[in-house]
Amino acid sequence: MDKVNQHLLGPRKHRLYRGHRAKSLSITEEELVEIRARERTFDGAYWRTAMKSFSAGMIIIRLFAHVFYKIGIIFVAFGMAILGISILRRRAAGDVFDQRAPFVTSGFWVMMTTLVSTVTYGIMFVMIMSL
Amino acid sequence: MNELEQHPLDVAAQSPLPKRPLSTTIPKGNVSFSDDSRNWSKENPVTQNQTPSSTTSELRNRQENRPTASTATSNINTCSTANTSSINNTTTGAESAGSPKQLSRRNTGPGGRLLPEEEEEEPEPLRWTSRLSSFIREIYDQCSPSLTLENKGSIARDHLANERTYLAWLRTSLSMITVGVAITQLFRLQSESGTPTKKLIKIAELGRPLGTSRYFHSQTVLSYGQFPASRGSVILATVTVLAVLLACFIIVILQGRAS
Repeated sequence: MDKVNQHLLGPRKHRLYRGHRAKSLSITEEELVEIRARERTFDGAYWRTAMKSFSAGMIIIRLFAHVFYKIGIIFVAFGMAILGISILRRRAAGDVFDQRAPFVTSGFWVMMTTLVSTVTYGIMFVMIMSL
Repeated sequence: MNELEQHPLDVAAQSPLPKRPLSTTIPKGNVSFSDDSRNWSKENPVTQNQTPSSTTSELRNRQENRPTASTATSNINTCSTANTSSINNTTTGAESAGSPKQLSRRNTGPGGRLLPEEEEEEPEPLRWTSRLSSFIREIYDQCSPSLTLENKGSIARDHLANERTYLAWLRTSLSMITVGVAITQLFRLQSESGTPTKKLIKIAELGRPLGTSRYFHSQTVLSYGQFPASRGSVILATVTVLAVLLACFIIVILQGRAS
């Protein structure tokens, strides 16, 4: 196996992965598959959701009438909440290189996201109706 | 050294080592432990070649017999054995939980989550902060929606894919909301720039519930997004989107006729 690209391993370069340092670690196929799955979820899905919310808020703030200003700000706040949830979720996800610990599914985080989005949609509903 | 001053671990293990002859030959006076061992090795020089291996094995036995420091480490050990034993099996976590080697699963919690075995209660009264935190953790363990499964095979990847699907539904609802806000803005622009007749204002009033109906739609989409995608949710989403598009089309046509 080739050497791993450093940025894949994150900022913690001094810790040991399976007893190896990050420089001399060679990742197996299974670990690569796991890492890809995590990147698809945390870098792909969560990040994309936050980016979409940010861009929608920007478009609403810049292009729309001045009445919709607050709605755009709510979009941006929703994107920031999703970003924070994604950071906490990534921390709560276990270690790829230590498969001994049991896997905890993301029901709690899905509940948190649902709560945040429901509150956001409710606020936006009220604001649109009272325009 | 007295016998009372022995190491507590040695007392707990009740010393499976073979009884040394020094216990019989200990004089009544103060004799330190190192002196004893030296005397003993001098007394029995013949058995010294055999004793190291035997003593190490006895020590290993004693370490195995020693009560485990924490149940978490034992759980981790069982998990690792489960990983190595059934690494080729492409089973889900729910099926393979019954075998006694693997983690014990309780049926009380929702989804059969894994719970560590109860530790023995400490007799000391805890501080109120730790009691509060343990209480909160207990409540969280009782009613948290996340499951704890064995990490083997493709279980982690499957659940991460489920999460991704949910986020895709969330993104769909977000884009729906954006389009709804855009449509509301469109109707407002038309009502402002066009001839300010009462009919146009009424149509603009219709446009607002149209934009907000997308909210309801997106909320249904969101609530369905928590479950694995099925035919029902897809059919419902398609039908709702088609209905909203038809309503938009009809409203635009009515507006053209009115003007």
